[in-house]
Amino acid sequence: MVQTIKLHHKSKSYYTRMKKISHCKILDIRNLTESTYVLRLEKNDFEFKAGQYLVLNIPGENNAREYSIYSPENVPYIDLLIKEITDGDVSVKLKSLKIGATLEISGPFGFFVLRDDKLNGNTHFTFVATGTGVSPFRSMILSNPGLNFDLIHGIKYGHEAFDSQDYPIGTYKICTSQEKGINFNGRVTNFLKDKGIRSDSIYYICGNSAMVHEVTGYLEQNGIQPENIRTEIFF
Amino acid sequence: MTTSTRRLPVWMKTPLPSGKEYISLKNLAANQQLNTICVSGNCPNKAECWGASTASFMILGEKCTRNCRFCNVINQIPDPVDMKEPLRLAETIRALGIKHGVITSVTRDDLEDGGASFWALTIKTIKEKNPGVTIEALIPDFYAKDELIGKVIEAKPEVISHNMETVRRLTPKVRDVARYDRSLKVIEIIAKSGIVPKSGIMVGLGETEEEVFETMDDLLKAGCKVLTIGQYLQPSAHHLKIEAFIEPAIFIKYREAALAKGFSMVESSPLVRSSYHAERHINA
Repeated sequence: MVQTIKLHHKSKSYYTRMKKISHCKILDIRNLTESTYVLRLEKNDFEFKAGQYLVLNIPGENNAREYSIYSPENVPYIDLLIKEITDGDVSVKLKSLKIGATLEISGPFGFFVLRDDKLNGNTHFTFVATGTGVSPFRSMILSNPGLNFDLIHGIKYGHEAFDSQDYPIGTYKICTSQEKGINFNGRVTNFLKDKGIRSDSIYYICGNSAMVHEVTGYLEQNGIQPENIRTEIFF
Repeated sequence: MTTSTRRLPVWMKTPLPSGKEYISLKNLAANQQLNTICVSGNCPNKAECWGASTASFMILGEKCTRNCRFCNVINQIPDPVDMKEPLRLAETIRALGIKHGVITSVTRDDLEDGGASFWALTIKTIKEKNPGVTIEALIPDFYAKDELIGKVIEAKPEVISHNMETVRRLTPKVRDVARYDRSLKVIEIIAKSGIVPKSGIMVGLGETEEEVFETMDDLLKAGCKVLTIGQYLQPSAHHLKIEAFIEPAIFIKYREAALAKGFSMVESSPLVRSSYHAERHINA
């Protein structure tokens, strides 16, 4: 809540460009579950860093939504992992659109990216997600082959382990809250409590606000420095 | 995110800024190629603030590493730090004839020291080039690290502020990465230094009066002396919705309560922003 004069010597068009809206066509809609699908869009000249999000709008509507990018940096398309929400106008309308329909995107936005200073060594990353919060992690993992990581994914049922074949064996840990079986049964926080946390890891957490705050609190209470925890909340 | 607009209540409406001094400052800022969101954002207080030779500047770029749901600053990977910015800012303050400058910054979690050294350099440069100019440093939380906040303290601004922004319960919903208790610790570190500690909150986000009073108590316990309270306004459809337009009488109630509890100075009215009447707070 500050009125500010921004002190830059960049031209006004610079700021305009940052919020530039691009048009892209829908290339594919791939159903993962009854309520979750992958929307594939033309990439055109859209560049991003794995972990970032874009703002998506259906032309003619003023009802834009933010979506983390699900696909890696170096492929010629953009995938978005979308969960249909019963009263979520946009997610329902998007799914009803035909392949070839045009959408508006702007971005990329966000700072939820892998730390450059840690990428060259053998730093371990712990990724914690719930539901479609796995989206930025898939992009990070596929964009950085050889990454030293563990991905902990909280879902209701085992069949929501989207595209699990994309992760190296042993790196993808599923926590199911509604289904007992071969996977860990319980919340991601309980998984961390049960299995222990690595003090030498950099933590990235993405998902709903309650989970992000619960996990962050637990990590901080157990000695993880706040600068080694990055979060992205899905509202 | 549904687009919705709410009509402003009558007490939020203000006359358009005008006046010779306002126009000349506006033109000077434009000539210096400054992007003024005081103007482009149509801040209701800009004529009054600029007329009082007070202005607010944002350093360390315009891309913030945090994604607070109330804030209009863009959340992107920041650009490299512009080391010429302190001098340019010092010269601009001289050119504008500013007597009291409020400096704020984006949060730079990408920098090892969060930008603390740059903050110190900026304050020192302004003071060197503008003897007599007083400064309020409105800082990010620096993860409440003593050594980082200490760098800003050593540069000796007259006031250091750090905004709580909202009450404890709503902090996770309103702010990104920040913690209520961590922000209180920032205030505590400032207060221990002897520099005037200041904070601010927005209301209309769904808080109760009791929660506002609790935040006042928490801030006082941390040593805070100056408090600003203003109405939250939703910058765009992407931001948190306004839960309520708080009536002016409630702002008066908050001001009286805060003063009675022990704050030295309180700005509380619908149009108050954290730098409103900032020049007065050096005496708190």
